[in-house]
Amino acid sequence: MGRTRFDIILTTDRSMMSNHHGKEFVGFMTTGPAIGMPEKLWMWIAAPKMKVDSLGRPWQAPYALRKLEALLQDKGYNAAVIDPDYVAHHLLDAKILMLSHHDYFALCPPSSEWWLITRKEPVNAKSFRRFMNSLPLAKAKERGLKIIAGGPAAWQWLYRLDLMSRWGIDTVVDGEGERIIIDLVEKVYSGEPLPRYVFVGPSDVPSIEEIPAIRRPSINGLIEIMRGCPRGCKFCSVTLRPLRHMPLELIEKEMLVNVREGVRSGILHSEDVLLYGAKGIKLNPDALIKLHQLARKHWESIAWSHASLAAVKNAEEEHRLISRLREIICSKGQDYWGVEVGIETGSVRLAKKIMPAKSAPYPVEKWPEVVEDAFTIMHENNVIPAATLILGLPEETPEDVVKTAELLDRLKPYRSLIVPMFFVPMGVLKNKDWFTDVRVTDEHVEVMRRCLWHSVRWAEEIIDKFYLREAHLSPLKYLLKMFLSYVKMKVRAYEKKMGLRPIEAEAAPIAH
Amino acid sequence: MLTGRFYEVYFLGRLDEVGVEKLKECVFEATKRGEERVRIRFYVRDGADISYLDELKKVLLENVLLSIVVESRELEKLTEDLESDEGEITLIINEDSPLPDLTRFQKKLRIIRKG
Ligand code: SF4
Repeated sequence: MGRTRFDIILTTDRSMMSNHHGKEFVGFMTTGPAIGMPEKLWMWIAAPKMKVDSLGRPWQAPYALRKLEALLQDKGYNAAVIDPDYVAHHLLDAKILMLSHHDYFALCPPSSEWWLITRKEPVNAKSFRRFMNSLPLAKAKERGLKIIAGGPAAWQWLYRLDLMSRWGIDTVVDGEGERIIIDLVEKVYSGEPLPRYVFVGPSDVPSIEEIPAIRRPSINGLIEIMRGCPRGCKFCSVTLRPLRHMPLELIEKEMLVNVREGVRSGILHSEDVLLYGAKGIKLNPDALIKLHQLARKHWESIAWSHASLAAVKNAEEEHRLISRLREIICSKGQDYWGVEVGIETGSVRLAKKIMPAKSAPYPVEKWPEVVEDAFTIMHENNVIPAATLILGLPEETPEDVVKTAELLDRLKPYRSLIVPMFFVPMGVLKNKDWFTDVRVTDEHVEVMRRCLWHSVRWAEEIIDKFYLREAHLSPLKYLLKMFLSYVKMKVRAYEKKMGLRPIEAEAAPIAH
Repeated sequence: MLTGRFYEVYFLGRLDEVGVEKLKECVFEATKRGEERVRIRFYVRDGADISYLDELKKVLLENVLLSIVVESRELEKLTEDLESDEGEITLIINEDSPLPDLTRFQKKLRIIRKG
């Protein structure tokens, strides 16, 4: 390996520094503990190693790290994203180590929920800890290394101050980093002390002009098309930040960065892809068509990160837009695309309290119908949603959970995965065994069982007919199917032990 | 961002529930005044001590509207910082130990004491 020195190293652990075999959804396995197989095998399935160059720079890296890398390089700093296996090699020459993670300590759903159910620490947190413990941090700190940790899970350091001290984290940055990071780097270079914690409020987020184009490929070609969300759900911080739509020129530039280095498929990233170019929630079909034509021109396959169910229904009903986008997306050999969507609850009462605008332009009273209509539209257009539910919100009553269970019954015929997320109050997280303090009711168990059987049933079909058809992915397909069989066996045994009425047969898909 | 205008709060002493309430009031006050950023400086005897963050998270995680910057400062730096900071400063004193003479900073200081 070469001895080129980097002043600023950006990195994360293996659970994040992986393209998950080019299948983004497989990456969700990093949020669970190893189930039914050794952890090494689980990690190989969920997060295989990334190809690197002679300096340990990964072929693909998390988008947020790529953005900061570009920003720092644009400002003339000698910065690079380094694969976790090669960080130790560079660390003693570096001035700053920057860390980022979606879930450093597995305290966010779905990791927290896996932990709650299995009572085992998920592999993402274990992998991050292993990575940090493997670094010669004491020696590097002695030589003056500064460590800055950020990313969407930055707040979690406040619950692990022991590790913040042990690993010598100097500064934690919570929020969009483009503006603050240069200030922090300048402080390091001029020998000034760093702040311990920075929360970046809505007035300090970068404008479009301040957001740089990535210079090297992102994981699975993910590209951000907008930031922010206008729907104002109560439990969500994204909604407080101003809406910014990335210009097509910037998007194309980033697509080409990926394509030039062999990442020929991509994911359009936004909290709601269908709101690209929109005014508030008023859709802009032209902007969406142009965006997808651009993606089609450069990519072999297109995926969406997130979309709102109300926008799916509105797009199809008012503009026939899902069908029109399907015509663009489902060509060049692609015949489906995936997206994450939020159901959150089947209860109108709860929806009114926590997400009154999530159903807009439809009235919140119609939320369950909006969900079902959107699922129908997606099923008919080969859009495969991975949907989330939120259980255990402080305002939730048992009746609300029953309503969610009823909605799940209505969603059985639609090809989808449905993942319940357990709301964990922040106060609970301060205990190491926080998961023993979370109250799971019988109604919650019912919803979780319905989600599980729904998702297992559909996952089998999705794996066979859509997701893992390529010959080189056969071993992965085989292992995932084994995992599904193991889960089914375990849940059947659990149901028997608890005297629960089996619902497996009722979960069978009834429409294709 | 760090060179912008801040609503400055200096904190002396141990951060306990009372201190947390005082800090929450400061953040509220800053919001009311239309400020965009708050800087909270903790004057500590041991620079490596970050235990105040444990209590401070109640302030940090409740806030969504303002930028907040948290700094650890050595106690000896207090007068120097008071000297160099030009704007108004809220000084929360949450301990009884003797302090340097602050009378010359009276004009720019708003002092909130324990109890
Ligand atoms: S729709 Fe999603 S991103 Fe938008 S405010 Fe609600 S939870 Fe947040």
